[in-house]
Amino acid sequence: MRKWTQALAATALVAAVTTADAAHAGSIENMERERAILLETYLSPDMTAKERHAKANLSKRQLIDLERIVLRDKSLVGRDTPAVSRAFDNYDLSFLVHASLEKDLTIFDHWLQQTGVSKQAVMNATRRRR
Amino acid sequence: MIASHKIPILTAVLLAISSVAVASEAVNSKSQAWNPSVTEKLIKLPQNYLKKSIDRDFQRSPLANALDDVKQEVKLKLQTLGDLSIAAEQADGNLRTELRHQLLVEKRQYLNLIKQRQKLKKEYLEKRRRVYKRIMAKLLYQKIGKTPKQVDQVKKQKAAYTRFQRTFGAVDMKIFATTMAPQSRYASKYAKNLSAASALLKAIAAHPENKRIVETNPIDKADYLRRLVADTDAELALVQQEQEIVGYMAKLVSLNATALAEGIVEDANKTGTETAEQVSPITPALKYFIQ
Repeated sequence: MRKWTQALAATALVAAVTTADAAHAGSIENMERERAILLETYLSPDMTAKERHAKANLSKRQLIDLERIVLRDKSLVGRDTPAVSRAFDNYDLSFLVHASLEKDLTIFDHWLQQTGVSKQAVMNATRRRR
Repeated sequence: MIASHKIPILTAVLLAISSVAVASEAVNSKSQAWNPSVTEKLIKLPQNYLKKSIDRDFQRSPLANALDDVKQEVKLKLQTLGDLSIAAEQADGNLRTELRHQLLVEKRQYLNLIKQRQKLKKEYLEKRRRVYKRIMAKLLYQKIGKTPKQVDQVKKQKAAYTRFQRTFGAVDMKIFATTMAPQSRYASKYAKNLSAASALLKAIAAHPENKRIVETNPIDKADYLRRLVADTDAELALVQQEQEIVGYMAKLVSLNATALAEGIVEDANKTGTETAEQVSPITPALKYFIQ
């Protein structure tokens, strides 16, 4: 009886240890996909302002959750893959919604700032034929 | 005459015993095995369960059974030695010599058993040390065996998480201030799970078994393993010292056997001389020469 109890305890312990770090594959890919959709929404010339606003809001809410999933994903710690490295190399560009809210900027302004394009530069730009 | 025949018999008995012991040793060594494997599960076990797990694995092995058997045999042999020693002291004449022979044979058997026990114990300790060292090596590899790029990666991930945690509350407030939509399914479920997880963490922290672990083993797992290796090394050193002692005991048995053999020869010569004197053909003939 005692042996059974010991075996049960050991199994439970091992199960607890092994299930604790179950990998959550694809969290970064999901986040990147949603971020691309959001940026595409901002950049798309085929939408009205209202449509853009509605779609961007939806994407933004989705992206908040996805960014948090990535930041809380323990299976990514120490994983040396190009996707993981890229995601954590630049917090401001990867976790766009959190970084923009932290800096009190709109997502698009923040993105432009991070990619080196200022609002002033866009406003000053002239349209010309190449 | 009868006593002088005992020397070759004694030698033959001793040789037979030693050859039987060697043969049985060879047969037993195959079945008396313990082959512990260093699995990932074993490495992940908390330090106080680690030693228990290895000990339990050993207790189930044929090597542990063999060690127990030898231990029992040694105990019985010691009793036999004590009984024979008392009997030899109380006996006289031929019976005393016979019992002293028997005592030497039993001593020899006792030494063989001790040697066997030491061999098994050494095997067990060496394997245990190897297991601890392999666990330690794997543990250290997991801990510091990362490439500089991986170390850098972990650092960045930690920094990102810290920044996220620092701004989490403020970000949440801004989200609720700017949007009227309810909290997402993920956010509400995560909050619920988080409160459940905190309750469980509190229960784990308050668990008496967990407190015992912290109180008795406050040191790092690698340090703990290093201590176990050092303990095993100390035990191995003691076994080596015991082997030297057994060597001295064997030498003493050999000297006793030589002394006993020489004693028997001397007794035989003495008896032979006495007998010769009794039946000397010269003495009865003397009277004839004196006449």
